[in-house]
Amino acid sequence: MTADAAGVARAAASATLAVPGVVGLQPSLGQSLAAAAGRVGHSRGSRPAAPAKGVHAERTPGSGAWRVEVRCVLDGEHRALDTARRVRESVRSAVVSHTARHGAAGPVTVLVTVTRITGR
Amino acid sequence: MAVDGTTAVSGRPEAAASGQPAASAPAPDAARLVGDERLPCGRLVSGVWDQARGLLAADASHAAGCPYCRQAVAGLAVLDIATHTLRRDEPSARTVADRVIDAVRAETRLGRLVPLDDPGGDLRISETSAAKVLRRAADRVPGVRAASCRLTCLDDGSTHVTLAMTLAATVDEPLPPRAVRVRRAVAYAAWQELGLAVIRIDLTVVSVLEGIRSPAVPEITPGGGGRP
Repeated sequence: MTADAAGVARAAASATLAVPGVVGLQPSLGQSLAAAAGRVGHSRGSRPAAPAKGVHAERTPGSGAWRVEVRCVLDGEHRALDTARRVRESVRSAVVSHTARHGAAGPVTVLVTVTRITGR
Repeated sequence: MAVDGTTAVSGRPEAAASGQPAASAPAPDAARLVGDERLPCGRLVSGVWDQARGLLAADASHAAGCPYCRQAVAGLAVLDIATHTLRRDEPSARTVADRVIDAVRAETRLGRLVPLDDPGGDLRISETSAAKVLRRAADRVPGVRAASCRLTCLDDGSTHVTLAMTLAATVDEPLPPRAVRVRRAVAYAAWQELGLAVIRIDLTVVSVLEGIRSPAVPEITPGGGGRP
């Protein structure tokens, strides 16, 4: 992930967590494995990486379009579809704003995956 | 995606199989760790990875535009970093195994992804989390316990989903009317709690419940105002 993509992912993560009904982000398998390595390295004095877990952002070469994937955990108090829609719109808005500020604006596609719903 | 080709070393499976110590064997390549599978675009994972590391002549036009290749490289890059960090710091095999197993278990528990009913098609939910909600809805029907719940997406490009659930039930009343109540409760939860477009619900009673008391939770029926 390039530095730009990391910034987009962080903006998307913040936007996701601000949506009512979202209780967390779920890392991908690759991020979980990287985190496992990071914890080991940290215990031995290495500097841990700090990616936006649960979010993957990439920019399509050529078109300049952004594709953001969000994996979120929801509470059981809100309808999953409604919360996922709010996450999509919140992330899209945040990414559009972030990329515009950093001179990397482009079309934004957001994919939202509900990985878990916590109990009522 | 920037890939550090200097840290990636081709794997040597025979060394791992022989049990040689890690220090004397080349680091395993991330692509080899996940197997040499063919991507939907037709490219082999190992070939895409070698191209990303500059070991093979890259087809820039394809790699730049192919979402499968880019996703594979992104995932392998993360795995490659993790692999080399773990090898560099030499944690115990037990520690590495525990952490990897935990991560893989968490991912496999999600099951398949099914679409939520949004025309954009970019909102999904894990089958496991949806099934948990739907089983709980079935359990609210007196004399019924849900055993399994599978969701299947249709291949017609829609967000329609079919549902197959197995049940255990008491036999103190006929099963057909009870099945109707289960269908109503499950359909209600699928739409009102999740937002799934379930177009068919197949129920199979696979065992008999004996000597259980009906739950104290009130049954939910469509239009009945929902749960408290």
